[in-house]
Amino acid sequence: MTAGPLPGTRGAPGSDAPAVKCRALAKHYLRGDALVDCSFDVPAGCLAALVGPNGAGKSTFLRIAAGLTRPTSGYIEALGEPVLSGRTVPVRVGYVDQLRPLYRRLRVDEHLRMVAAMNQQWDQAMAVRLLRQLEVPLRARVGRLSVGQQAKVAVTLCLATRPELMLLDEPLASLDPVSRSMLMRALLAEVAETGTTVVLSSHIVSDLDPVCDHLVILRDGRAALSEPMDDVRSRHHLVVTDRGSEPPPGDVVAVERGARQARWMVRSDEPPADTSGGAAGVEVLRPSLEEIVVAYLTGRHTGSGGTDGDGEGAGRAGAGDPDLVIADKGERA
Amino acid sequence: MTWVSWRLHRTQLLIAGAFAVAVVGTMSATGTSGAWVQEDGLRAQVIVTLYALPVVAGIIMGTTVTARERERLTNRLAWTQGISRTRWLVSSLWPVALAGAVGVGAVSAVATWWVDAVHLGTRIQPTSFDISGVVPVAYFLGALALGVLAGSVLRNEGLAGAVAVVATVASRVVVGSDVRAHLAPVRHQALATAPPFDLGPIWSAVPGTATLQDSWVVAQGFVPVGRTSPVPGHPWLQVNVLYDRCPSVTQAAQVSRDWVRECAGSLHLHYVAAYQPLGHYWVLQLGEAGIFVAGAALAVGLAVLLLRRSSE
Repeated sequence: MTAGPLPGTRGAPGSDAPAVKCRALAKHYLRGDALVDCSFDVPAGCLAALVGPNGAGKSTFLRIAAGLTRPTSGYIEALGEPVLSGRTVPVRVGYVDQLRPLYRRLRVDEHLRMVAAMNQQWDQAMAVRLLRQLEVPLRARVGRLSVGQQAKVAVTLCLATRPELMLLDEPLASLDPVSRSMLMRALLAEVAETGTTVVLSSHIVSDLDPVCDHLVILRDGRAALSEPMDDVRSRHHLVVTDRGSEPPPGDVVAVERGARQARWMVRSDEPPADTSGGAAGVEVLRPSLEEIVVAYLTGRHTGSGGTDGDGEGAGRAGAGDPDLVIADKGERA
Repeated sequence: MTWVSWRLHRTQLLIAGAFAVAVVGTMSATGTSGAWVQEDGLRAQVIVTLYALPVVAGIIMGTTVTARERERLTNRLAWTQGISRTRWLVSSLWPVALAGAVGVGAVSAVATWWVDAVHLGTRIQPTSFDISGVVPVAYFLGALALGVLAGSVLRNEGLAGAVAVVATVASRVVVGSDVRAHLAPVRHQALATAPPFDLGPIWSAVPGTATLQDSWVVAQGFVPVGRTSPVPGHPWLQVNVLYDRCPSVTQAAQVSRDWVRECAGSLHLHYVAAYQPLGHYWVLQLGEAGIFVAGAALAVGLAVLLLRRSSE
């Protein structure tokens, strides 16, 4: 029961290596490719959201990062050390599987004892306090708990080992709204003190909007975007023009043409000039996070290396990596 | 970690323990009553239980360690804690292996007394040999390891168990029929007369075969006079061969011991039994136990390699 990592590292600017770094990561299965040339960084101390549709490779990525799955090719490191599946001991990396596997016939307190025995660090007091707070009965057999309570147990087991990096695969899926906010608040309260880096996957963007400070968008096994949430918000603009007008300046992530108007999701440091008062009628709006994510998930891909003309590439996925996937100026089919 | 292993296998160990207590109780009753002839069915049940218990318990416990975890995905919980997969496997396994070995050893100790008490043939003869001494402990460890190995290849608990059963039975048959007889030097005895063959050879009807009656006869038949085993490359000739070679007899009903002796003599054959004497019991026991324990260690080693390489 030693103390966790030193506090105060959260979001420290220009600090050390990224908490997770992957380059050209690929995982091929017989039934298809889960990850294809996936490259991005997650800075240390942040709470990163990994979003993308089902089958985008979120779970595969998290399992690889946790050392459970062996990638077909590519490189990945967690907390500055290469991840080698099954060989290294991922002591400082906590992981909660999407399916939240627990021993159905064991009680909750027996799970605490078991996980305590398998870790050098274990905070029993915190685990008990958290489970009480989340209204999970300690003496209940896990098989009798609801799905939501099992998720709370799984996340608590992970938190109480005081990891420096937590990988949570869909921790909020299939939870009711009350449990969802309860678990999210508890999680935030715990990691806020310790500076733990959290990578959590979700396909519900609204859950992540207020809490996450880094966004990774996965699409078809590639990182379509990876950057701090503040940059995501400030650099994306929703430009509404006439249907037939030229694309606005900046990188077009996606365009949606209606009967009379075209709605452009544009990425640029400065917002395009809003001339909604004039004759040309260009209106610039602030998109919601959900709109930005959807734009990346629906915009057409250029494929590897196909950056836009000005080379200002959207999303610095994997700092300086040329194999960056972005949407091009083409229309949606 | 010892507690973890105990907790995950508690039910199995308790059920296996209940079977062990029941079989020991039945052995105590039948072994001391002396009236075992009337309890032949009960005796058969005891023998079946003594054969099955180490193997079934070993395979169930072994597949629980690997296949069940992988089938229910709880290995994703176990393998993302602060211990390596190797340490996880070893620490999950040794408490079960130890508890099971102690239990099976205790039952076998009683069985070693029981096979004599109920006159089940001497200890070196196959049925008694398989359920007495130290080999049941080795069989348990072998089955446990094969369960672990099958479960590290196959993710389905039932399938892994079935494969482990087949592998265990196959290894038992091969070692029992082909290897065990050669773990100590085989002895030979030539008989003045062939035994009666009504229901296989009946040694008690042949003078001078007191040793053979207590021994495990591993091979027998007619061989050329002057030899104690067949010419290399040739089989032990059985009595039916004589029917073809001595045409004076055309019907099996006419076969008499005198005719057998005359026919064999005219062909320059005599009857020889190759056997392991009762005195070789512990040599064979330790040799066979060693084979299964070594096999178990090998299987667990292989399972460790496979699990370290396995990808979820």
